[in-house]
Amino acid sequence: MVIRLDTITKTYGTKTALDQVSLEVEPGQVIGYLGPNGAGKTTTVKILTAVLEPDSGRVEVCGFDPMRHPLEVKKRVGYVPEVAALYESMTPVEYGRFVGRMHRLGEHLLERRLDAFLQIFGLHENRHEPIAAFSKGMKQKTLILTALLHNPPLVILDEPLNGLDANAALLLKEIIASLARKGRTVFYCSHLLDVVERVCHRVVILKAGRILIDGSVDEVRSRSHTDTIEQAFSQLTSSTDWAGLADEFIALLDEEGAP
Amino acid sequence: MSSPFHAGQYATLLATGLRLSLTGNRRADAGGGIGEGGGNGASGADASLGEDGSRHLLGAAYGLTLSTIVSSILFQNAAPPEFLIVTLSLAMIFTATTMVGELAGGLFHPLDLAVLGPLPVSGFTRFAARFTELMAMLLILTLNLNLVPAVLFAFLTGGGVIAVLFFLATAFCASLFTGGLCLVLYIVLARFMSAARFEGAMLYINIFITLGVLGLLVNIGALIQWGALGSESGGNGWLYLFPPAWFSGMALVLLGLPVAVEAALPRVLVALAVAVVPLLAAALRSERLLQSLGGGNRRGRRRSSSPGRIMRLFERLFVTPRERAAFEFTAINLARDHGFRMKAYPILGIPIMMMTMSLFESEEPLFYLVMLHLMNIYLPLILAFLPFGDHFQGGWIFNALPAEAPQRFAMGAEKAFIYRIMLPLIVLNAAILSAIWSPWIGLLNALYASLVGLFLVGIRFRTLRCYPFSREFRGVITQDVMGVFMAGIPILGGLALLQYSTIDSPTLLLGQIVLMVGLHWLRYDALARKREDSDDKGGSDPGAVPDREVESANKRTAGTV
Repeated sequence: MVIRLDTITKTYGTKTALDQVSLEVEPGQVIGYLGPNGAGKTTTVKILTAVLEPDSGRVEVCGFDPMRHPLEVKKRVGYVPEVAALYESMTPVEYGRFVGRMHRLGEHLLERRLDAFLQIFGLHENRHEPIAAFSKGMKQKTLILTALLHNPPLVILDEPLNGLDANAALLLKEIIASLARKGRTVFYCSHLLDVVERVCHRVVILKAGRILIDGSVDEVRSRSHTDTIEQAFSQLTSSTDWAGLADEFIALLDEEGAP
Repeated sequence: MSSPFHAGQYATLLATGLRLSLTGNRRADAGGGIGEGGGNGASGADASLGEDGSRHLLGAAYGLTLSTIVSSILFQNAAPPEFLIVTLSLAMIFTATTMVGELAGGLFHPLDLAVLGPLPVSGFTRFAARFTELMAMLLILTLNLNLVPAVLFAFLTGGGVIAVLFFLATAFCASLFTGGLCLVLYIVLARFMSAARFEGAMLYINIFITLGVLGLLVNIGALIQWGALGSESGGNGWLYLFPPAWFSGMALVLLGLPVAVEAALPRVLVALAVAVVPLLAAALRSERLLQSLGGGNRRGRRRSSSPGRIMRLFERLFVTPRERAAFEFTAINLARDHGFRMKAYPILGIPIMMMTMSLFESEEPLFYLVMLHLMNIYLPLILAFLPFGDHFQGGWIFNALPAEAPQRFAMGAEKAFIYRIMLPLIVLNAAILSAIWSPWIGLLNALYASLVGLFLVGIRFRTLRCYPFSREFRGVITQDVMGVFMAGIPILGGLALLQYSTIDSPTLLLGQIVLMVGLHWLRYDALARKREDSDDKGGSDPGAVPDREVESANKRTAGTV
């Protein structure tokens, strides 16, 4: 197992972020980890990346307990956070070298990979420019390519398509599929449910810290009696009449009149 | 079409702007939404108004203390004209520093373009609100810097409350003038520079201003002498080349004290015009300036991503492969982090400037040695800025990477500090001292002082509790810094005396240098061995593994790209 969560519970004060969550992920799986805001997705990611300690339960990432062996886990995880914060006075080459060296990649391998990755992601022309001058998409590409530099067995992607243009998004989806074919595991958190449906082998939907459903894309659709993951998600996580709510919103605008 | 001025919008903008300025959250754009990385303080999500506010409080306390000390000295030694000229000079320079660093940017803050750009707020309303905010801040600054001098001035002249009021009115005019000058600077620079270069230019302007404060303090005596001559003879013509003299003349005229009115008044009028014209110009060009600073093409200057020759040589000689990531990361950010340079360079400039200025006055050798060691005392203070960076949100990466504990990361960082900060200081000090003594003696003394400073730097790095450039700046006057600072003074004083005793014996000095190099070598060797032992045992980092395992893992994956 690449990921093993065994009855994990995590609370913040009186709020329970994760409630007895259990999950097992095998190598080569692309798992879509979904949930409305505040469902516990980020808390799970923080536990997997050894940033947070659960209150109870057992965690294993690539065979190691993240709290007892954080460095072992970090060596085996490539993490792309939701917000692209980088050291912007550095160039992508400098930043990539820093990340690669922290992962103790050999110099030749690092330079070769970095150069190739920058070419593939279309940043080669900008490799000597400070990241501060980059667009959001370029920063996101920098984050993704540096997270994959050390060829990690587990890749955690939190809204990785943020800011990416259509071509870069297509490239990333292909990379995810190829990583899975090579036996790498991808833990994919996103609100773009159509993308999740196309990219992931397995879907886990979370609400208020509990897993509501866990299965393959087809299983989730059939068990929820819906045609798409988006419909399944909406049905499982909310009883709101969205169309009615939208009408109410428009009615309020009409009430005020046009400016 | 929206009207050019909207009172409701103006009031809202002013109230929000004042609250942000007073609590120091003007840069809140950098702080949001980084909780995802969490941990090790690499997050601005926990910013609180109270703590940011204390930074301004600290600045205000510093200004108040400085003006109180200077005006108290002058109260006992100077006549009213000299008192005025020196205290106003100090207040104007301090105001200029604050304007350049904090306030003037508020008028053309790029955030305004992002936040207010899509809203139906006219440029005039926005500028009016920002301008009022600036005036309010200038008023607060003026009161903070001039209240004590004004009261002392009233006692000095026997002018009572009227003297206090005239002094404060003059001081506010001087602040307006300073603000106007800073705006001119902003307008000119923003017209010709990209946002990135503009920030750099502001850095160096701030450094020059800070050094100006120092120059003023060092030359208080000389200023008093010049001022005294002026008051006796009805005014020293060339003294009026300095803006503070224009305003001191204004106060003297208001109080009916003896002054060369014909020399003072025209200059006061010019000063006020200089203060008002740029403000009007800024109002008219407000939107274009904002767009040139905040929007448009922010394409950065291309940099060489390879280390320069000297850096490569230094790396090859002194940096182990394990330390390389920390070394290059720290060296790059030390050179480019705007906030760090803004805070550290002026501090280092003070002793350098004092040494350079003293070249013209042929001081005793002990003076130069004390200045050298004064730099050493400043080093831990500069190091206290190291954890803070402009791009601190990027610090989440230390959580995601198999990064060593900060204390162990510190070895590479310490060498970067030596390379970026201490090495140039050695060269500069050697050059200055060579002008006094022989080049050989100059170099030996500069080297000796730096080796002494390196002990202090080493101690400070061992106590590093977070990664460099990974936290938001909130002020650094912490107990441990003051502890190192206070403990350092007697030790460094003793070492300065020891160095002084060998001033005529270069061989003895060379012997001491060799001894210290040996001690440093032993220190680094012991630290490196301690680290390797720790790695082999699993050590202080529970997850640490021997290098060979990581290398073999890398080799296994090498062919897959």
